[in-house]
Amino acid sequence: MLNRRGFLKIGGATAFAALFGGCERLPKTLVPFVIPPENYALGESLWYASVCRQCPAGCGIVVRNSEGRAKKIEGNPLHPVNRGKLCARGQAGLQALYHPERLGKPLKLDGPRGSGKFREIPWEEALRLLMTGLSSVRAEAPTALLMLTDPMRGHRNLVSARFMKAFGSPHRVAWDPFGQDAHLSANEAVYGVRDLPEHDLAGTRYLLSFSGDFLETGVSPVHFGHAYGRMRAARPTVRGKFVHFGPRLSMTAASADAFLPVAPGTEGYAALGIAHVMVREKLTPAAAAAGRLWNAGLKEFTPEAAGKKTGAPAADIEAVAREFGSNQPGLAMAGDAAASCTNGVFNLSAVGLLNLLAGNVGKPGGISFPDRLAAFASFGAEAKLLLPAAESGYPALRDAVERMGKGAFRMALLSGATNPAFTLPPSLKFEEALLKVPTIVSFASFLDETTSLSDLVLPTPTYLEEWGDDIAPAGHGGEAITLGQPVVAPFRDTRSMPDVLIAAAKELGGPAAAALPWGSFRECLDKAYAGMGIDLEESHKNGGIFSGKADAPRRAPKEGSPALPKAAEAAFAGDPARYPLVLHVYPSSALSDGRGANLPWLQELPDPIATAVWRNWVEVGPKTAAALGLSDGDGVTVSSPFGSLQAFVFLHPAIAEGVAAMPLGQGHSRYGKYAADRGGNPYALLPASVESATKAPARHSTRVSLVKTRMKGALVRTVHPEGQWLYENIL
Amino acid sequence: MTRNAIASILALAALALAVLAPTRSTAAPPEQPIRYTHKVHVTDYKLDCRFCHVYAAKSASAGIPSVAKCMMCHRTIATDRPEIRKLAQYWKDKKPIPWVRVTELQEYTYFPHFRMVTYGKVPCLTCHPGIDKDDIAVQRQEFGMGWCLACHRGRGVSIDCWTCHI
Amino acid sequence: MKRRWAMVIDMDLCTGCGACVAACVAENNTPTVGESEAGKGRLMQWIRVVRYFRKEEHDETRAIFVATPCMHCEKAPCEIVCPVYATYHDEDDHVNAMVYNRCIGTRYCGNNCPYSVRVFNWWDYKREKPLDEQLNPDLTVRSRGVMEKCSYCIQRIRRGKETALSEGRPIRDGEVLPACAQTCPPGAIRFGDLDDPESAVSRMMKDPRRFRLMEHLGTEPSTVYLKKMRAPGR
Repeated sequence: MLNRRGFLKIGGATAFAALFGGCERLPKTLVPFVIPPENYALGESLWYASVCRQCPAGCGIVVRNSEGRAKKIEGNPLHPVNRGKLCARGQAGLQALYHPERLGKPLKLDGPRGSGKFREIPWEEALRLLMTGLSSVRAEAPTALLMLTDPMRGHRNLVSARFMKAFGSPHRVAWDPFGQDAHLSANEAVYGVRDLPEHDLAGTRYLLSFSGDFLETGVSPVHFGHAYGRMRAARPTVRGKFVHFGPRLSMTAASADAFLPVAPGTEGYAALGIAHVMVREKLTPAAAAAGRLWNAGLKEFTPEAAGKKTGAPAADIEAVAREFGSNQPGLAMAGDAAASCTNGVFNLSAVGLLNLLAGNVGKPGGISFPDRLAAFASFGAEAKLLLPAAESGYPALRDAVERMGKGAFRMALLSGATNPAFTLPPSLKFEEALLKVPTIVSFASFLDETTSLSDLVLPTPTYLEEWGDDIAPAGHGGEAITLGQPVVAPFRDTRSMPDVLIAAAKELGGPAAAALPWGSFRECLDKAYAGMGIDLEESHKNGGIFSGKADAPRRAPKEGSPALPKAAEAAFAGDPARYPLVLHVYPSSALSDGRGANLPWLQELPDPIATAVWRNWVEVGPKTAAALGLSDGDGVTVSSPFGSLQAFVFLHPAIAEGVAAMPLGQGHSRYGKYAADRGGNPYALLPASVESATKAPARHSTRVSLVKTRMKGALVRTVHPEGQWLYENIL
Repeated sequence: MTRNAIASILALAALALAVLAPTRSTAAPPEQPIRYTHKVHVTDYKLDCRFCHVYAAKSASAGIPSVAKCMMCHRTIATDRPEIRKLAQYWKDKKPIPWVRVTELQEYTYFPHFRMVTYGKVPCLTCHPGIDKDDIAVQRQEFGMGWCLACHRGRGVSIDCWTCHI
Repeated sequence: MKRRWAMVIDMDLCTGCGACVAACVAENNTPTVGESEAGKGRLMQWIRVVRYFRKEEHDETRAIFVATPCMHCEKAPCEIVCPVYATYHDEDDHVNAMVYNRCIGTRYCGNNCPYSVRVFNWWDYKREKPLDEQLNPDLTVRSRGVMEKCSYCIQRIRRGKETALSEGRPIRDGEVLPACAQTCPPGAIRFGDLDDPESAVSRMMKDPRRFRLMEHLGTEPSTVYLKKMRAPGR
């Protein structure tokens, strides 16, 4: 009980403290420059153009630099891929730059192998360790060196390739779980071009998407987002119609005018059903091809047959086909979920057929195959190294894992955000195999699951602090090379991987030094582009070399005579009696394949459909949930024949029944305090199955069971799951 | 007097002092790394404020001259003086001079110098009185909100909250 | 020069990606609160993308996204209840102003806002070094106990005015954009001056698809929406 005396005592003491507290003037220093830089104006920000590396899309960015600090990232208005726009992941790049857990000094293993316990060492020691390893491997068995990275592009890739070649090792593996192997094979089979096309979304009148989440993830979400905006609004009398076939109502599907749920892996059948109707009702300009396909077996793929396989009503498939055929130019696109089944190439080939039948190849509003290689003709044989490699690298990675297990490698150089220890199926036993390599060196900015297995970690600058060049995989016709530059001076003791390789090559001498003859990676870039006759300073100001005019697209040689894709059903591991649901996994729009999980802005970005933050969840439809006795918010154990995890249920009102869907990206065990221990890792549920033609990873090839489990806590969502807020309430 | 009464009087006095105490002490001038004197440069040699505080007309902050600016003259002028030798040492070591801030505004205010200087045509000495005659610079003017508002009202300039407090 | 800033959000273009949310957080020094505070409904984002499920044609459930920044109501329910005049309608820009210095944290304004766009600083949110190097110097970093909300990026409006003033010209349409409008990939968020009859937003105001959220409340929001369309059935 506070009486008057007590109150006054406390009051007096507080006032006394305030009195003396207020008097204290903490001196603040004002530190001017020794010599102010050119262009510097106090209080005014400078904008530096560079390239975004938060996902493989390669958008151009401009970054605001105020007093030497990066403050804001925006899209580069001059860049043809994103035209001044940028997604949430691109915006969050600043948090990667200024991350408290960024590696600032080389690390040496200070505990049992694979433990992730390190101590800091100076660069001299680190480089000595690296060189000792490299020299001895080169002297004794050069093929015993493995380089395992994410797919690199531009001169970074060229430097790495030359290094390995000169070193004498053919073992260079680039791993991207979301590689486009099935797309490449399907395009080769259907069009005769083994490349990724341009999709003219902005100019199309009818967009058919088959499990393509192109507005949120995929090969170039900002490019397609921008194009989508133009499709809907840039033409005064045309809005376009967008129909999405897929297992769940994703963020992309929510923008569709019609969403038709189909069972996972049956996209090819849906496409063939549409093709059947187009040919039957003569809604295709490609009459000769149509006739041939019909006789080759397309006449069997009626809408009714397609409906049986997919679960979509036959009448709907027919109606869509008629609309698609009558509203040209139309465009058909297939996405990762269709590609990463065991029958991925079939699914994608069937979708590709629709473009052929629509007659939109090489035409506005359709697909085209630009000659992106043309810009680098002067580089000769090495030009291919500069372009994006669209493959996943899965067969090479599995081969490497096998060799690692047999002790074929003495040293491994690892780099890249694709984190094989996190993204590979556990049955491959990647960690076990990697630890058989006696010396593991990682180039990294963060300690993720893969980096934590290393013996030596060499800290690299983030993409905002280094020089580089990049060619985007989509969104341009080959007329754009993006140039990256540091937007702030590197403020940690870091060295970029190409710089370390160049220095290592110099010390190794001989063919290695001859192959990488520059003083630094920057010198390599300057020389390369000077040779192309480009004003490099002006190009850096613009963020790249945008010639503005693309060469004519390549012809599609098989356009007139496509073969009917060989129909195949998707295979799913697990006995349906024990594992009743098919698992559909998708990269989350905030965390992508998992690389965004250590950034608090992305963790706190509510998922567009589930509206959940900081944790993952498993989605099931209401009928499926009822059958399993599950309600929204329940904890469940999700088990596949290969692994299990716990997650909260999100009752998704628009998902194919018999499907359980989970976003990828959470479930880290390392990677810092923002990422670790936030649910289970859905990659660990997956089998090592492959797409039958390409041997790419087939992520959609397992079944799962959901069993109600008591779990602590709850899924945090921003929208009330009961839906008490109705849209009508806010009108 | 009872102990209770003494305690309450002391407390009240302390409270009063706290309330009436100036928000910023205008006591001793801060110790600077080099004994730069405004009097010599401004009053004796008639340098304009904006010669050194270059950004006053262009930016929100007036800025402090860089070491290069000082050396423009002091490469040759008065090079034997001990303070100039200190300056030359900073220049030789390529180290910036850590000046101690003299004039300080309240926190959470946005104060664009250039609007005062370029558009308001407010003389520097209005807010920095006597600095031209100072050996060691001292802040004499208290920047209380009332003082700012009085001038704004007098000139018919915006007194909208968001003008200064975003 | 007086301006009437307005924002038009075309729901037919909005894909729900959340780039606007991330851009706003980066621009306006918004803190991240963590999972447990988020669980209490204390997310601090000034713009949020609300996802509604609704039954459409063929009785199918579809999702619709409503990006919700501050409405900057002409007749704002939040302005009239503040006991210390910390929030008021700025006469020069017709924007709902929030003055952190005056706010004493009664939270009456947040209570009164029918759109729930106001957020309160329940804590002094820590920004672990060096994440604080990213903070935008153009505006305040708010401390515990004050309300905050979308300001139409007043700091950008201010910079735009200063630039235009120094170059002796009026502000061009599209020159001043809040962070959300600048980054939106499909270009769903448009921003401009209603007092300029040629501006994009003036034209969009005449669109028959235009509607305001909870129009019947009479708050007269400056943030308006264009109805989402769906191409008819199959």
